[in-house]
Amino acid sequence: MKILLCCNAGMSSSILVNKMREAGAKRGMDVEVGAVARMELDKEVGKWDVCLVGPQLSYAVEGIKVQMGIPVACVEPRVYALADGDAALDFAINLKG
Amino acid sequence: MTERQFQILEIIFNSVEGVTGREWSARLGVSSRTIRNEINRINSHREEGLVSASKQTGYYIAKENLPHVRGLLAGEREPSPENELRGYKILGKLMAEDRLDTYDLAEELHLAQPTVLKEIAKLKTEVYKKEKGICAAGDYVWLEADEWAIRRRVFRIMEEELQRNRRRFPAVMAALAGDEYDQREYDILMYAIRSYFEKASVKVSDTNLMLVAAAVDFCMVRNGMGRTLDAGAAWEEPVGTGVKKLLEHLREQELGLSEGDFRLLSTLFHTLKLSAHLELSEEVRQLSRAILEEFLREVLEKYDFDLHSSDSLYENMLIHIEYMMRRAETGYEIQNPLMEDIKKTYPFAYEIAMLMVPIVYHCKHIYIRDDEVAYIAVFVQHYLENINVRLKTVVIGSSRNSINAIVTVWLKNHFFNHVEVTDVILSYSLEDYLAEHEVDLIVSTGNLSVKGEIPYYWIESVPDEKATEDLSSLIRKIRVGNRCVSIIQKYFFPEEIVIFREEETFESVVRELAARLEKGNKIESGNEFVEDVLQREENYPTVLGEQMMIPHPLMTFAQKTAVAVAILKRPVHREGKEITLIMMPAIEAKLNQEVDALFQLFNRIAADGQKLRRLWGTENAGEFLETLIAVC
Repeated sequence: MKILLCCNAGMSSSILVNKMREAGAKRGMDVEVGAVARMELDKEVGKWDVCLVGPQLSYAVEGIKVQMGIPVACVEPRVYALADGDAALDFAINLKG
Repeated sequence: MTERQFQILEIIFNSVEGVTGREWSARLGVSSRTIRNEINRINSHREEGLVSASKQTGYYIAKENLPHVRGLLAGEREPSPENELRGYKILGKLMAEDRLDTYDLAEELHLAQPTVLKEIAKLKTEVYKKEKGICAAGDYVWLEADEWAIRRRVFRIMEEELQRNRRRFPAVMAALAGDEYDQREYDILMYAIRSYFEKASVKVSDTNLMLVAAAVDFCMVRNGMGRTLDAGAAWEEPVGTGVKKLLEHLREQELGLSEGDFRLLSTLFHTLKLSAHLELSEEVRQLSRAILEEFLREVLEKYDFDLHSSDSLYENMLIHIEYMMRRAETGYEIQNPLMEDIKKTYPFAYEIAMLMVPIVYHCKHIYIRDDEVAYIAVFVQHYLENINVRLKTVVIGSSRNSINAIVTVWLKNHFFNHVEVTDVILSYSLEDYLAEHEVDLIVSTGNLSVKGEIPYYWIESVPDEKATEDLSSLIRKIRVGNRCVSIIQKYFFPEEIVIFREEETFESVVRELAARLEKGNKIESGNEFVEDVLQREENYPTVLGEQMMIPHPLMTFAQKTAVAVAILKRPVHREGKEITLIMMPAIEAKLNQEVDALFQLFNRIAADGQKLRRLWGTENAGEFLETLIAVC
């Protein structure tokens, strides 16, 4: 499963990315997680299964959906603030359905 | 009188010797019997008659009637409603019967059978737009459509008719509903629906009001004929509250409408502005905004036009797209009577507007119609004509006029929308010219020795493909720069640029900047903002490069997007770096590409030590802004 994280500058998601990778490895799952700035999203079209966005971009979810054509959702602020890799991974799995 | 009756009268009036029955078939291609009937009808318009007949000379106009006939023919002929509506009458009959004999139909409508066939052909192309529906074989004609399709088609006709000509709308209704039509019933419905809207204080346009009443009325007429809708698939109540309330109201009236009727009507109502507020459904609104942003982004990328630069254009396009999406989703797309003209007159705007098609398809799997694209093209054209600022360009010509002509024509043909040639001058007068005129770009036919700050392009020979490409990229660079300048002017404010000369902590700097943002009404609560920013730095530090930070909150949004700046003459220590410049954006919770551009700007500055040093060296807000514009 390929999960992309997106935020304004591409910096804040990197910590969560590592936590999610760790969580995935612990569960023995085959996950690929990447992080990118919103303005770089264009280059990522077609490469990912789901896209999670940071709370600071909650208003842009619909726009990113249109751009990416995959399930997109905003990470819960608490999960994001605490960089809870497990919860974020569960969220992504549910999103993919 | 019909157009044909006028024609007949004119022929008789113009002939000296009278016209015999046989001559008619040659002149109008109709039988002498038809003529006899028509003349009977002509004569029925006036008690003493108009046309006389004699066995020897055929039809003629008696002397005493001449002045009256002359007056009739000279007067303005109103297009006969009967003639115009006979297509709808035929459709009305087709909807009432399973199958019709075209000869019977002709008899009933007092028309020649070929006319009936002609009208049916017209229905097929103009009303059905060559989609299937009307079928004909031998002398028979019938509709191949279920009740759902029939009613949807009628709703579309009503919409188009209301756009085209509101006055004849009742007549159109009567023609379509046939014998079952009762004008009083429609009037009562109209009155009831109007008072409903008044009570709910919803402002509805007359056109929409008429459409709602007519659609409900038509459902009742069809039900009365025993042509009811099957139950259809299960359906969800509409999301918009305006539609929901109207349906509830109609239910209470006990008009004998079925669930199927309500379902059909709800999709039609969904496409109309029926609510007191614009926010009928947040979902459609957000989707529309996303589509518009994506469209603007593509236009900027492919054509270098920033349609964002006018807020009113943006808002108008947003509203248009919202209703376009509703129409596209429900299949009630409107016609654009000007479509062909728009395509021909504004081909470039139309080409740009076409970018909308794949975007809508991508997210909704719907192809929007050309009519809708043409509406978008009108917005684009408005931008090109009234908002787009072209680069003021001066051409440094040579003494040979032919070369100057080649260059200016080349600029006009390839760069018309980006470049405006203000003058052609010779190189020695350039300095004087620049002193008096504002110039964005210089295009020169010879090598220029003086090079100032103004971008300059040298055409070494006759312009070829490569020259076009090179100048394109130069223009692009200038426009990106200009865009950057306008973004800086829009989001940076002198009162929110602070120079710190003493030792500070990161927190004290953030507090001061937040206070400035609050004072400038950019954010609601400075304290809340600061808490969010500091909390976020704990988990996700925003150090960019070696000396810059861009702290911004995760969950607190701004009332108005702005960037506060701190120039730290004594660096603040953070994450092992010595921070000299802090840019703290407060961002509104709405889609805006300019915010992306701001972050790109931050990245460019952070990556370039020289730029950073120049900005750090400034001594006041004005100087800082000037330097920022110069380095970006």
